[in-house]
Amino acid sequence: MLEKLSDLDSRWMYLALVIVLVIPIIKPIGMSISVNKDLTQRMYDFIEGLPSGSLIMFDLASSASSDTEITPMIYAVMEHMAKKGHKLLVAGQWSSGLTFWSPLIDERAKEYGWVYGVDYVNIGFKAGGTATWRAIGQDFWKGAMEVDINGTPFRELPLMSKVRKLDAETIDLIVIYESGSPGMETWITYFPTVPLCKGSVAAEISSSVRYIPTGQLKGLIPGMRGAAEYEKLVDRPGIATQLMDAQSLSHILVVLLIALGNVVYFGSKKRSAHGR
Amino acid sequence: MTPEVQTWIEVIATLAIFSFLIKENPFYRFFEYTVIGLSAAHSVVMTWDNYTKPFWVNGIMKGEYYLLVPGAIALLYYFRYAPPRHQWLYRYPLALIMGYNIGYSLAYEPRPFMVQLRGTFEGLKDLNSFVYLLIFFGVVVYFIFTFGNKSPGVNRTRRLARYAMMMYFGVAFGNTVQGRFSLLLGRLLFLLGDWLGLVKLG
Repeated sequence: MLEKLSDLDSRWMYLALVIVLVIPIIKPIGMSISVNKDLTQRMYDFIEGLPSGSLIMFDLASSASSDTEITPMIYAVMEHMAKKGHKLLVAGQWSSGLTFWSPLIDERAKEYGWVYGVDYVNIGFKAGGTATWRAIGQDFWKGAMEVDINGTPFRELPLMSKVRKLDAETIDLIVIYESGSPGMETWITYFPTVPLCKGSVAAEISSSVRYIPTGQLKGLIPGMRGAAEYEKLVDRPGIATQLMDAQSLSHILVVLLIALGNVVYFGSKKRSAHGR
Repeated sequence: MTPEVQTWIEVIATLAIFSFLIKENPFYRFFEYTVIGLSAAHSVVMTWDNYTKPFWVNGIMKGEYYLLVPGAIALLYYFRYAPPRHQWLYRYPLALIMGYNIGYSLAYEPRPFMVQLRGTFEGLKDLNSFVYLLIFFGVVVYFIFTFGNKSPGVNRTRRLARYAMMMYFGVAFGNTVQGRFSLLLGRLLFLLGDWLGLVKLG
């Protein structure tokens, strides 16, 4: 039996995984979602605590491959902003992030009745890395070449009249949606006074949580699980909530497979020791 | 292209990539090369749109001619492909970029680490923070005494640090697996929702 298991074709495991994932997607179980008080709740509380009309900047430092994790986070935070009446400035350290999420943000903004130029502005990708961001920090208009993503001059966008610098007096919060580098280090290093929150892909969580106790991060949405928590907090279940059952069950399967793998490993080791 | 055609192309591409899990096959190989080709083409277009075009349209054509100077220096990069006796010219833009980045790094980058270091000693109020401090010293000892040391105290501390680091790597790996499942879930949701219509999307 142990020998059979140790020679098990990995494709059977893939099949088991697909079954475990597909069934709860089609027929959700409705497992409860608890909110992480140290990460997601902190971010929610920070945005909740900002006065209505505050300016929040999104940094889309990710790409389409992180769609399933990042998109529900963006939607949930936008929902929260819409409820609180905050303004939005969209930027991105990754051009691919802006290409992918700008139309989705526009679509959601339309649903909320946000007027472009008044309630939100997308400044587009600005080439030059940290040097450009430092220039934007000193003089937002000049550093960003005075045009938005569509080439519209900042002087024609009323919201931009308030945005002359990138500092804590101008921007009340930066929310970075990150899946790699360049990412939050830009803000932590060069703009330490501007409050920062992060929507993180799961792979980046463990390297980010250390910034929470020191206050360098005000809050964190950890992966798709965090997105589901935020959806619960803003009371608008979305894709992340829909997929949580599948993800939880897949984790149970992985834990079982790890346990089984260990049993097989130690069992076969014991047998070979006896055999000698 | 109609949304239906777009969906079908996505479906075929997704199934082709997943077919690798069964075994290597030409169907998978074709779409793998297609992705590589598309990525290269996309990069060229993005570089034109995000770097070259704004440089001319928002800079030079608005009368900011001084930008031609860094532009000319940047062009020296291409001397990397010149005959050997001219290749030294490409080192100038490289040296400028390196100098600029090192200067910036030295000026700004120690700060976040100092904040982290201060945070390690601040607020020693519960068991967690003491465990954190203990592990911090353990890991420092681990990396200072990387060469053999016969002191039992150092060796025990190094073992503790090794366990702590293994736990960290385990957490990081677990989170990465969770992230990969999320990506797979996204594709499955597309197949079951957008294509087959078995699921109503969020």
